[in-house]
Amino acid sequence: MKKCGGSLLLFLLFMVFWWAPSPGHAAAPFYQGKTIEILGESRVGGGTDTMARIIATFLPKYIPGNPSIVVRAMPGGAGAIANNIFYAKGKPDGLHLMMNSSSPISLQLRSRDIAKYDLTKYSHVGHINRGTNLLLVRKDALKRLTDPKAEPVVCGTKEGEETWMAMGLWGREFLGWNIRWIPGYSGTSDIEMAFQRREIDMFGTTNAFIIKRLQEEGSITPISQGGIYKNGKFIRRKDFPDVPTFVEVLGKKKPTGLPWQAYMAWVGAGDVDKFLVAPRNTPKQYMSILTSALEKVSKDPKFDEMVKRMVSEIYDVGIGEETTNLLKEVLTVPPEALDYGRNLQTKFGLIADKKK
Amino acid sequence: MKKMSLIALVGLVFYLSTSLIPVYAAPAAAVRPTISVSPSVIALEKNAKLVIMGSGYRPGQEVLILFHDALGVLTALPDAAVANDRGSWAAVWDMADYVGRKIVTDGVYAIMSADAKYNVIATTTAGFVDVSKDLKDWPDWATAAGIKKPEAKQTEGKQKEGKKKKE
Repeated sequence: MKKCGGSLLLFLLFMVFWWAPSPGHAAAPFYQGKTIEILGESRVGGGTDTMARIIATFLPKYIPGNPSIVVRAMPGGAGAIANNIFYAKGKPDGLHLMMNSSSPISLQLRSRDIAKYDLTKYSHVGHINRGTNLLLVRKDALKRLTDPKAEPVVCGTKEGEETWMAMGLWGREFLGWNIRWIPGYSGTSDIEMAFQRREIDMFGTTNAFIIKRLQEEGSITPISQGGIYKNGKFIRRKDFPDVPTFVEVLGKKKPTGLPWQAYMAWVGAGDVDKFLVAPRNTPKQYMSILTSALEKVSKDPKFDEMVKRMVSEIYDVGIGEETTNLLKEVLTVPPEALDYGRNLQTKFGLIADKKK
Repeated sequence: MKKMSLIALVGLVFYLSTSLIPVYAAPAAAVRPTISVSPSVIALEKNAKLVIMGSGYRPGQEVLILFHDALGVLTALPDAAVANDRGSWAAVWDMADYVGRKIVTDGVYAIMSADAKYNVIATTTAGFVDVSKDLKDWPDWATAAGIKKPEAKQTEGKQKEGKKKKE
């Protein structure tokens, strides 16, 4: 009986420990069973949204606990609407991320009143640079670009702040390009639709997927590319080796001094391109998990295949601090260079808000 | 004494076993939230619009609408619906961008309602038909649901016009 009682006691003790929450349970990965939201600052189907979807496809695999990821678009104001909300109200709980683009950089850089955020203050997961922008003109509108007496070539833009807009503005100023701008589109996707409707004749994008599709349709001619800035020179994209850089297009008309300094400041935003951020002050414990996961994603051959198939054959990935430092660099620009760009915008009928 | 401790231990085990098991049963009077779509089978055209409705939600509750895109990525529609005083809501999904960019391709999709933390509340199903495909490649359910090729619609329209002219 004594033996039987002892065994029963042991059995009951086992049951108690079996039912009680185990220490292993407490150590379960933070992200297990959770959902991360990636907010996209532009319209569904554009370059930023596509990049968010590609990252959402691979990121859960490399985050301990394999969380779900949901992508939600919040377009408008060239990324200002989503950024204003995310900056003011984003919860630093490791579950909220935002896919950003160079447009909100340009907005902040040029001190536009609608930008109520500071991109350098976010917690940065990383960035994906897809190369450089190409300026595309409808084939049948090409002649009008250099004919000042003809009907102006109509160029669609979000807020007149995109990186590729520098080619149009400086082309108008120094090459006499015959351009009229229509601002107000919500994203590249929206601009491309306007191009398809023949509402506009010209726009710019980095997205090789869009460019090649339009080239196959036979509707566009890429007239210039920003170029990848390396060792003091702009070089052509490997996937568009026949498209001249804007410096080549300018030739002897390339300005020097302040106008060129202003051009360089404008196109700097493109060096960051698409970047993934968490709200300000997101704890390091979450950031190290997220940055490490993005780094692993960037080395995944299937990710590489998908980016090349859907976005661009050439791209660079930067992680964490690299993104922070790059953002700080492109957002540090002499005020007189910013003023020059702002004055060009005003001169050619694009709205340029007063300085903050 | 030993007997007493044994009884106490049995009591403890019973208490733990009942208190640690979560109770999932919903109150008997609770209305289970629902979600439905109209039409349930839709042609993937740029002007496609899907009406999504639900009932049984908390009045004023924000409801997110989710689906898995063609890549398998969980996607929330940009705007949340808000339940009215009766706990019902309705939303229109303008599919233009999703169709044009092939974020939605043909097939059967789960359309879900979720709370602000993306906890799924209710699920329904919608069938999307790529009408640019050859009719022979269409699934049975697409033709059974009365979806027609755009050309067929145009021909039908012309026939109707012809009839009107004769009249």
